Amino acid sequence: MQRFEAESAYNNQISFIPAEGFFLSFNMRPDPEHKIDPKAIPAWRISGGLGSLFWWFIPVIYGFIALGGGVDRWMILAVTALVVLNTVLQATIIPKIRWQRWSYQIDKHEIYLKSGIFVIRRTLIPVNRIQHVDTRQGPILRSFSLSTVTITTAATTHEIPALNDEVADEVRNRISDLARSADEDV
Amino acid sequence: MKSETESQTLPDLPMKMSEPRRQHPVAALTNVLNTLRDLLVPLVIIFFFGGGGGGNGLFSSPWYLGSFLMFLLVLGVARWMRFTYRVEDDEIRIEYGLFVRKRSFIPRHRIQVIDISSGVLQRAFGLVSLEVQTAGGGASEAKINALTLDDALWIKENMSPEHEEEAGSNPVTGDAHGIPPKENETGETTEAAVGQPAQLRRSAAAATTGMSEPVYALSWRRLLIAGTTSGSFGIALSIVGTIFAQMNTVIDDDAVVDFIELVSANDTVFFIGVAVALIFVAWVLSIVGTVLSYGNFAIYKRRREMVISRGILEKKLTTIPYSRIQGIRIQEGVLRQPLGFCTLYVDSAGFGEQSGKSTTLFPLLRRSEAEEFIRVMAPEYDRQPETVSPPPRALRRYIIRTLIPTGILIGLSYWLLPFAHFILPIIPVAVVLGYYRWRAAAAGTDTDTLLIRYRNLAKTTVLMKRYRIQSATAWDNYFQRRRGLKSLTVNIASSDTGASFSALDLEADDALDFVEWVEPHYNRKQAAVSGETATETEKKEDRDQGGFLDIGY
Repeated sequence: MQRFEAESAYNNQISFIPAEGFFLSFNMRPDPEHKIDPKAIPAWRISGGLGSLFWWFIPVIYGFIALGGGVDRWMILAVTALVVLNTVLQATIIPKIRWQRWSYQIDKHEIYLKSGIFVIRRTLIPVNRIQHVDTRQGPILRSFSLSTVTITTAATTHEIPALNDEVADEVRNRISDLARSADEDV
Repeated sequence: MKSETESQTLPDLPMKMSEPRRQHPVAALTNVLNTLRDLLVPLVIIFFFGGGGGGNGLFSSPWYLGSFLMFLLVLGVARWMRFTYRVEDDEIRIEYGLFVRKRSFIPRHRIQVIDISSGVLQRAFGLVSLEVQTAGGGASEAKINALTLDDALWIKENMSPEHEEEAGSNPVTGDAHGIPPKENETGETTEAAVGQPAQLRRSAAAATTGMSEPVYALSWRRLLIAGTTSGSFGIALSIVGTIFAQMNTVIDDDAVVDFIELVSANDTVFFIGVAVALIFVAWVLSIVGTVLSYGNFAIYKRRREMVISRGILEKKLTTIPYSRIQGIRIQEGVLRQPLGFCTLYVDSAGFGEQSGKSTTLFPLLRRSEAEEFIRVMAPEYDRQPETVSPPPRALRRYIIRTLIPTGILIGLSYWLLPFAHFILPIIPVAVVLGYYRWRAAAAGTDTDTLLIRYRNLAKTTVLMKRYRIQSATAWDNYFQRRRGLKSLTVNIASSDTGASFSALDLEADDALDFVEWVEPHYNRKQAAVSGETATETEKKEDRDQGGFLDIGY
């Protein structure tokens, strides 16, 4: 875990570790410049922790079956351990890594997103392909006064999660304005 | 519609069409059949599981069944009575509903496509059905089940969107009657102006599709090759397998036991024999299926759309406006590639044969003919961008990626099956498949076209226009990062859900280049040459132009 964190911090700056002997003319643009709200971390700890409780049903049901006998005890222990580990990670370290990895940028012609824990994605959405933009918030996000911006194209839906309410409104209006003027350009 | 050479003059209908009219009475029967088809699954379930012991199920007495059918028939007739359609004020107006009256008024500018087709029953009475599709996708579309060809053609000619829709996209909302007939690039004149197209003289076949001769038609020989090499083979196999498994419940258990005891002396041979028989039946079924749905396949070209006509029992017409095409796929199936054949598909937005599926553009043609076909039918997509492939160091990842599901499969079969060694030869097969996947993978661009090639089993080449790409993603996991590889995924709109295509494990730089290519406004070269400063200037420019949103911490 220690090693992983170091790795992620490093990644956060240039996001790409060249393999040995791989000299690159790495001319990609820098990472998106805005981070999402740091309050995302406690919010995700709650929502991730609660959400992960769902998986507890597996060992619980397994346990009930085991009461009837005939099920391997080690199997139950292993599954329980996995499920508990998942909850612990979701409630502690994973939200932090996810926050560190999340960044976004809104330019005249494109939305540029970067995110991911194990798989890191850099996504580009041309502004004139955007169909509509929403903000939404569930009860947990609301209690932190955070909102999620949802960007919809004809084929895909993208999210910029956990922005401060005002920022989210601003982002939504900005994207919507850009999308409208981009349409007029075409 | 057989191609009768006799020409006919369409009667002048506008007066009649503005009055509410019923469908042909056959529609009542079609209603019943449609209801039965919708109820097929529950009926089958009732047949197999219901009523068996109790004796009061639907099928226990001919009286129940008879009154049930009677009920459906009355319902069908009532629905037919209550269904009227008319064309008025540039709208198709349909009123229907047994108890709750429903009206759907579809203004012409919202209509995307009008399809005319004819099933077995309709053809027996010389009728067609007409389906109106709107941009909304499904919810507000209308279908008139049985009307005469003349009426259908009149509606299609008068209400087709192509009279007022500009080549680009946005429907013009003005008065369509004012638009004069135009000439297109090839110089042929368009149909008569809106309002008086009724005097067109055409053969019946040409009239249905709106043009003279098909540009390409599928020969019977090719059709049979398409059937024998079809990928639906696997689906047919699973269906046959399921039926075979269900036989146990139908055939007397003792008979089965006797039979197995009889042959068990040599059970390996027996199992192989059964397997071969099943595969053969599935194969024949898939041939029949392909022949039925792709028989008489022909594709026509109009000024702003392609029209595909196919089917033996049920004839289907599909219209694909050029402005709705999102991408074209050339698929070389495992069985077809060695013979030099391929299949063409087109991804189009908003509609398709059914949602979630793209349309077959041509079921079978030689790989060497594909480019020419595209040049003729969709010249915009006649491009061969130079491609880059995953580097040799990605080969290992490709092979491992194929081996992982194989490993799971082997694990499962060792766990579940008594003798599982026979599955081991799948390992070298998977390695070879991984190698071929690596070899097939490629991506490339030219000025406005992106090509992605990949192989699952079939080798697929996708051509997409830059302005059709909805989003592009370059992604990598920990292992890819270590090796300097990135995968590319692009999304285009196709049917309801959209389609995504990926080139895996490209050189990281290449993948990022492709993402940049999708949105070319960012001047990468400048940024690369003078480093951060140039980037900053560029950003500032963007900020000034676009009112860059300055928020942060």
